[in-house]
Amino acid sequence: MKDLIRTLTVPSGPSGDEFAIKESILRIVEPHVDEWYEDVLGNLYVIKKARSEISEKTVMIVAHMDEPALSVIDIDEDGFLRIAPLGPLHAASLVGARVVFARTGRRGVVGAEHNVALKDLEFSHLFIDIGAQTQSDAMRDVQIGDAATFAYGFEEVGNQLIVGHALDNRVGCALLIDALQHAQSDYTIVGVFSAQKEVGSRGAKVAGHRIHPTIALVLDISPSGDTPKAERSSLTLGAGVAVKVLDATMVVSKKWSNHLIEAAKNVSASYQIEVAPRTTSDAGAIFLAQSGIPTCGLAIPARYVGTPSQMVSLADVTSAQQVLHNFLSLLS
Amino acid sequence: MLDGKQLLIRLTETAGGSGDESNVADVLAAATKSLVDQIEFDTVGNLALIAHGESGEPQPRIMLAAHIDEITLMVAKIEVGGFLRVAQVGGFDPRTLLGQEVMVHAKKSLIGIIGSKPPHLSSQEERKKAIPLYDLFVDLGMTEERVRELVSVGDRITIHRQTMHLLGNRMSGKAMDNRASVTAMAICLDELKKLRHRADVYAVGTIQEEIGSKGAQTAAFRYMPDIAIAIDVCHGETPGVSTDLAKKLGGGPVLTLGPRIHPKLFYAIREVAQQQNIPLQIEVSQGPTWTDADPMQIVQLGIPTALLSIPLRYMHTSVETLDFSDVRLTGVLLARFIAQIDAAFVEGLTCYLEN
Repeated sequence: MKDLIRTLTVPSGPSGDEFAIKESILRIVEPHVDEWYEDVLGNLYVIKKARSEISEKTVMIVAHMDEPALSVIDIDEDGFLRIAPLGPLHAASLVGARVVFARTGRRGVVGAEHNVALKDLEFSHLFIDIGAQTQSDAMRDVQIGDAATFAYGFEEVGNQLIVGHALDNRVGCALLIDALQHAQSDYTIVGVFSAQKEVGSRGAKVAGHRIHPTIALVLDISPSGDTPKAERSSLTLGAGVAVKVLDATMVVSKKWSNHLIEAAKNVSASYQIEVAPRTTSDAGAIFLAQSGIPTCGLAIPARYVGTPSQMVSLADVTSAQQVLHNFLSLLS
Repeated sequence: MLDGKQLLIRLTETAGGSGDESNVADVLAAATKSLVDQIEFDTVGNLALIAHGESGEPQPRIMLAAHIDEITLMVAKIEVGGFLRVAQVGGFDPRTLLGQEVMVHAKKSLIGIIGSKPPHLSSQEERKKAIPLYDLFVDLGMTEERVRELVSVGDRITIHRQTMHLLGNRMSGKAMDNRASVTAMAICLDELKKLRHRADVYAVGTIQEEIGSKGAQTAAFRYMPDIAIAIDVCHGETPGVSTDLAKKLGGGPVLTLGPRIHPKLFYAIREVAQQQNIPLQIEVSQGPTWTDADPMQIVQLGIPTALLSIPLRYMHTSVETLDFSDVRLTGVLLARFIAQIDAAFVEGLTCYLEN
């Protein structure tokens, strides 16, 4: 799993321009699935038929593949690029960040105007420096509307901890790929690598309408509360996968969160409960599709979400993998 | 005959937060099963009580939506010492939570109280302000070890409160929002037994209204009615609230007019109230009504939508107070209106130009 996650953090995937990450995902999953297609929003659907032909039931597993990005809104006379956020990013966490443009692969760094205190920093104070001398120099490589994402490596820290710039949500994508490769179910599995989660779960909304599955499960990251003076949360790295009970977009019915808890107990995997009133996910958008879709979720706790250095425990990934496989095998 | 007051007490004293409504749905289903032809739970937990109209012509379909969920708290974290930190599921007024008795729905049902730092230990500045939810906690009076044995993050917390009778028809308790309307819907079904009606009635106890009117939207998609009427509570008059924002307790049902409401439905319901001598109050809304009416109006191709409300004082507290006569009359008005619906009326709802 570690190598798969590492591979998935390399391609860029700004919300609305998920081409590079989607291509990488498809290359990996194509040999393992019966069918694949895209839709107008850019979602990637991959189908793995049920073990038996009898069941017409489907489970839709959704992992968003996009990541927050920086969108170029102006190029000044000296070749500096002015930017606005595409998705939830904080200006203060971007100063000095290295970025890469999804369209051209051009690299740059984020600079900030002098004389602004860190706490007052807004996007209007930031710019990207791609090493250009003049406006026309810059415009050879970048145009207005281009989107840049973080450009950092993948590290292992301490025992079982990994750090990367897009673990939110390439970890979810890796878990979905793993399930498509290895899990068995009496339900047809429709894997959805969803587009545009970071700008309001727009891909998930149409995916829910198109597939209208028997049950949907969302795989995503959830910020943990185990760092000094962190926002209050009971999620802890290394304590197991989090079973979603509440996030900012929905409350999960006890029936389905209990199914996931049962699955965790079946495989003796450690687990925790996600109650995250300020964390968004694709779950709420899917739940509301058509006449309603029973929706549940698994979340991987992560530190430093929204920064270039997101941290996740491989023990939690393993626990998620086991729980997901067992959950799928028990659907009937 | 349905005992409305008894049903209201049973419903309000049953715990059913958004996303966890099954106990309330069961109480409602048991109370109404003899009044309807069919009872249906959908995949997300809405409960539909279906009363078919007289057979023959194509039947107009009318959906009633009364949400069965109530606002609750949820355990977000267990602190050192066994104190529970909480998250909101729906919008309590945190000013009213301090000192409340609550029920924590853990492995066992546990009574707790909501506490915070005492005034003696608070600074002058802190004492001037209401205590935010972030600083409140639930104390179960148990050791941390015992709390961790019994309670899990994600467990529900409801207000522990018996519903009480005040003078006359006044009643007070928790979750009157919106079990009052659920009761009115049951009274409507009871009345309909005595009347002839052509319309097929889908009386739906909807889920998750308090966190964004979710069940009403999905149920409206499922049943795709010709007419949808939301039933909810509105603010009852109290000192310090202007009369355009609050309605009289005991003054009768409140009918809303505004962009979320189909004007012909509004006038038709008002006319029935006049014919039947049912007192009616009017509320004007300039945009969202913040009820199930809002999402239902724009499901699929659009649904003609109306909103009937029951005046309620002290909304989103543990002492929500109403006059039962408003509940009863809301049910009666709904039934009398439904009895008058025919295919021609429904057809007219798409004609704004040719009158």
